[in-house]
Amino acid sequence: MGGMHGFGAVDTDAVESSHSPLGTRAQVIAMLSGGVNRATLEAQDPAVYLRSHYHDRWLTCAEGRLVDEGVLSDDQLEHWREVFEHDNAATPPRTLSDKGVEGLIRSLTTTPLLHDPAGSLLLEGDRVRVRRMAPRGHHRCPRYIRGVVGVIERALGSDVLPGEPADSQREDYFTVRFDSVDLWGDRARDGEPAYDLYIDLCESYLEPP
Amino acid sequence: MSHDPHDDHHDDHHDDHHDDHGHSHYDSPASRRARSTFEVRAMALEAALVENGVLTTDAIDAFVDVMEHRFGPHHGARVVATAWSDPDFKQRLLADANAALAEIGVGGLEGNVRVVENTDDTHNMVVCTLCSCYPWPLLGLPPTWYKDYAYRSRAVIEPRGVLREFGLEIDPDVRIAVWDSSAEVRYFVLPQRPAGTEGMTEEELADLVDRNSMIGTGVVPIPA
Repeated sequence: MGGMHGFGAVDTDAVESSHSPLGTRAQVIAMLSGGVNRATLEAQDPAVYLRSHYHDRWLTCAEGRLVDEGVLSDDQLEHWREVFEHDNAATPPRTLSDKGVEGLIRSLTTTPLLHDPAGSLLLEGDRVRVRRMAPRGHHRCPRYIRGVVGVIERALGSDVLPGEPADSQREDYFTVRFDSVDLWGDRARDGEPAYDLYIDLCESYLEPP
Repeated sequence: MSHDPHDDHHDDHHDDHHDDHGHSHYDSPASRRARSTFEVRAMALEAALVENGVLTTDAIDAFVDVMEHRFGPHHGARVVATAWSDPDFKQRLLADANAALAEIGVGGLEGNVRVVENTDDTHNMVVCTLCSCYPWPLLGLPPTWYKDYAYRSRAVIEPRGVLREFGLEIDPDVRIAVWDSSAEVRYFVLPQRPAGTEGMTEEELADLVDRNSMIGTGVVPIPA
């Protein structure tokens, strides 16, 4: 939504990470159950997406996907909602993993790094244009930079393309710097003198200028 | 603006969760008031997944504990204070943040970090226009405004206007650098050390550093 108008002022007082004490827990459950990723979040009805809270989106996605995949049933969710709505002392059942949680904690506290370069010929300082494209489904190239020329500021290493399985072919990623005038025109008179915009892009989003 | 009409009461007990380390969230005082629709749905999803053996409660608890207690802006503030106090560490942090952070045991999910330094010439600010990417280990979970559409849509087209809403007027001679986190690297701002802090210990310095100064929507003020 970079560059869209109409969302008003930033509510700088909205500082809590969640609108509910269970917000983080709902997000965690959605992540752990494999019910949600960026692709499923973005596949939501745009009107629903824009109307809903961040954690509502995670919850709605997880419910929908887990029911679609037959992991849960609507009846089962409905049953438990009735329980929790009417009995304020009721809580979800508690179980323990056979293998403990140390492995999970280790993976959560290990930083995921990019892989070594995959052999791109692009170099820092090269000018590149962001390809014009209209991909369906999940991708990580915002619309507002498509067609614009920028300069490669840093080569980051390689990774699989967004949404692809971990064992897919890797591509090189680059930090690309754009001049705000190339993105939006000269807006100095609107109180926005030229600035730099940095964004990370994979090679297949780029072409010669 | 984006509030769910079923769920527009804010939770007053959020801070209680810092004390219930290792226990279920459902033991907290928050569970004794009426439940929102969101909470009922979240609990139902958890109950169904646990009932079916898809998830175990200890795994959920451990993940939440990492997100809410092991990650957080106190780590970010410590990193800033160390960088201000130790020029060699600062150099390593700017050259290869992940290696420097590993030295002090900070890292994890969403923690592949590049540190960008505010100077007399450059003011950095961070946004994620596509979702709400954020350096979790250093800053914890993002504040609500960071995830809201106003910030996500406008930070890249009117950064000075947005900063003004945070009460920040950046000198016209200072160039703004906006970092839109679109891939796997997360950006973290090293704010400028304010004047008048020369004799301070790292601990005292860390206390001055707030979350917004590490996102770039704030600066560290000169201590009163």
